[in-house]
Amino acid sequence: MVFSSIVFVLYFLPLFLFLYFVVDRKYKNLTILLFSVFFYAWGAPKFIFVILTTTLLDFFLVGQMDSMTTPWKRKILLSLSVTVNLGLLFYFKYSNFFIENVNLFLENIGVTQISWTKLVLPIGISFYTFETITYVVDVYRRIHKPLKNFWDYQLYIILFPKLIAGPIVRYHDIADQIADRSANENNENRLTGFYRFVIGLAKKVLIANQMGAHADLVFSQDFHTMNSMTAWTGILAYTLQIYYDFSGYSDMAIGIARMLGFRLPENFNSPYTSRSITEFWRRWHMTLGNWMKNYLYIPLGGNRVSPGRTYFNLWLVFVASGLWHGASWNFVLWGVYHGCFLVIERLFLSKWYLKMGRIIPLVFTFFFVVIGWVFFRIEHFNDATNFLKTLFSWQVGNEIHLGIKFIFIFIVGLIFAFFALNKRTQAFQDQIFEGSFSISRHIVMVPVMLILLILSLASISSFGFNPFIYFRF
Amino acid sequence: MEINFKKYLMIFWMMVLFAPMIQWSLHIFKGGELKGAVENAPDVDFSIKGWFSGDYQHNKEKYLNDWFGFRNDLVRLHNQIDYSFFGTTNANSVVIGKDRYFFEKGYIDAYYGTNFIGDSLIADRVHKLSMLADTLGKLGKHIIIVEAPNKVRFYPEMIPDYLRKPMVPGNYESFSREFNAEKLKVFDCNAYFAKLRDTVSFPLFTKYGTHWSMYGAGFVMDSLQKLVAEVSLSELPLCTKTIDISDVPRYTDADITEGMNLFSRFRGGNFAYPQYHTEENFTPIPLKIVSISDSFYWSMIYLGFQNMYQGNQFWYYYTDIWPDRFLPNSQKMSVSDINLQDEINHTDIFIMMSSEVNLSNIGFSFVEQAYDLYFKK
Repeated sequence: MVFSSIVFVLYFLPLFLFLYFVVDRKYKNLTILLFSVFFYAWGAPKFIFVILTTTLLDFFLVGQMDSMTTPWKRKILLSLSVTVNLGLLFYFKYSNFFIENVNLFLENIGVTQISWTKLVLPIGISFYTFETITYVVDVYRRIHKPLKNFWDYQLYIILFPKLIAGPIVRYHDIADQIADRSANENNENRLTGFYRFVIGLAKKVLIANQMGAHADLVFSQDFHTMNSMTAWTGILAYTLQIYYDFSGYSDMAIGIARMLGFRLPENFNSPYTSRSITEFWRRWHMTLGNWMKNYLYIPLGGNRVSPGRTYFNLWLVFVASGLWHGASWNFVLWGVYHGCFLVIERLFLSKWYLKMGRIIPLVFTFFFVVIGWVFFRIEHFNDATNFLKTLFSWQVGNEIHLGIKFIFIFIVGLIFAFFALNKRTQAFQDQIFEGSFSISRHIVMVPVMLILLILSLASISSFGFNPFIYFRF
Repeated sequence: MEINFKKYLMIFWMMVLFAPMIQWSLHIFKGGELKGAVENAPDVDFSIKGWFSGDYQHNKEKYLNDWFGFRNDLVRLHNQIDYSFFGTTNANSVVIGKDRYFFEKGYIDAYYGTNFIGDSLIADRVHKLSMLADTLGKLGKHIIIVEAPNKVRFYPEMIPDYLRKPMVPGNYESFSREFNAEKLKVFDCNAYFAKLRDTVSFPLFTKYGTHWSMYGAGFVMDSLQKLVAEVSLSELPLCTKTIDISDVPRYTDADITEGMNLFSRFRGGNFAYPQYHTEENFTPIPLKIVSISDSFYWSMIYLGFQNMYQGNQFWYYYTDIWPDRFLPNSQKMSVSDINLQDEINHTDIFIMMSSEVNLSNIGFSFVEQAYDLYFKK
């Protein structure tokens, strides 16, 4: 079930919210748990058992680990839990990729290929696997005590707002809220959470989908005969699509969670206003960046090792990040591309940027990010290079008609993507997302949200099913 | 006060979320139907097998998408915004031309020759048709070919700039050439409309329709009656023609815009509707006519062409029969159920009408099947 579907917005959500608001406090977690199981099972009726089984195993292992004092025994149980979780992720997500590449190699040396039935990727496995790892590692590091109740742990993993596309919530960030979030369960949070949900829905439906339709049209053409301007509109449309799609989903997740009294971490902070790739990664998919930093980069030694090793660690983290996005070489390449920029910025580029003022680094960074999306969007390397050639050849060729609607939404998308460049507009945005609302502000928000909600529903009604890009990760 | 205000505001939002579900269950407000090729998904019964295969969820979601309360109004709202603010439409293959003249994309493609099937294939088909016409002619039966007009050919200046491209000769040019070469009885409505264009009082095509206007269809009907009289050496039907003026489009005069599913109705300008009147003791001309055509022929039906002759059947796309005929088991008969030889034996005139988009398939396999009856050993 996707958030931007009729079945979610007009059936699941109202029924869930109504029940959640009316049941006694002691049944609230149970209500979320039951609806979360239904939510996941609706889209993945078989894989729900995979989650339920692995969470049971994890809960048991972590409980055992916490009760032990001998370091090596704790380490064995930590390794066991991490291995089981990563093993499942590798099995479901990477085995197809691995076997394909092995078979390619075997074919080249003339050896019989391995026969293999392709596996289906369980929705959201990349997200919840990382969350289970935070649980076991946080308990291992004694950052937080393990949950006493299995169903509370189950709720942490399966909490439907963030289950299938994040934000990736670290255990210690939410553990206390599972036990008691009564301080945040009020109408103010319900209303602001609802506004956040509607804003996210509008970002997804009114901007990302429109940009996606154009990007799909461009990327389905023959790159050799394509007009360069068309190629640029395609990759810029994709640049906006992926941002509004993913940040829209995160807004919806954060909004629903806030309505329930949860405070989920932010996932985006106007990433296209970054003035370096390093800054971009502090603003883009922030919860993945934090996870990578805390659970991979720092354990690898972080920057407390030799400069050469630090650069290698950085690069490795980004290769892993690329691979996390998908079992395909283009994602690895995208990770390598970003990793290289991080190393280059540490070596000299950041110093250069400092001398260039505010605008030039911003333009350069945006340009580099856009080029990076070429590798992200196009699966095969040869196609990606052909597309890059078309971008920079300035050739005249087949042109795709843009239309006023595309141009209008593209401009709106660009404006809001760079809205936070100015301090005043940044403050305004923060007020909308984080600030508390006076009655007069609520009154202003009613027509605005009503219009956005109706326009979004009108668009969904006409478009039908709207899958999110990030569901396949 | 603030606490109460927020509580009531939250109740308001919950009511907003529940409103479509309530409307779906109770049908409190009467909403309009969507027009066009819309087939709403049926409901689905729950089964364990369906649940685990995901089919149940998939089909249920489709059903809920198609039937939720206010859905038709929301679709209309979406279309209206796109049309009013951006000048675009979500209706399949509809193109908004200059000055908001509406076209179907297929007619623009046909005009530019994009769907050209090649001279040799066309020559072969027309030759077959000519042989059939000769054979039937010897039996006292006639074939009249009507090339229905293309709105794009009539208003080429209204094609939007982004769809303009160099014209190459297409099916229309090639078929017309071959029809003339084979000396077939052809009524080229494109040429006819071009000749009429500056002499008529009302548009031969409306801005909003893909077919000829009913006013234009009236001219075609007059000419068709003359053609029928000419080939069959019979009288012209005795009738008088009056014109009814309306500011609301009727019949197919706004068929494109109807399918766009907007809130607003297209008006503007006057629409003219010919009406044919016969005397009380009018006797239809004793001819049996079968018309094989695409949708353009429906205008002839609306104008009452069938009332002028003793027998008139319309084989729509050579599939459906109008007026309805029934099999012994009371099921509706389609063209595939008829005995073609019998039908030919009892028919005086065959009218084969086709628009430019269907010209490559004129007769819709009637020619091939009839040809086989006479020439295939």
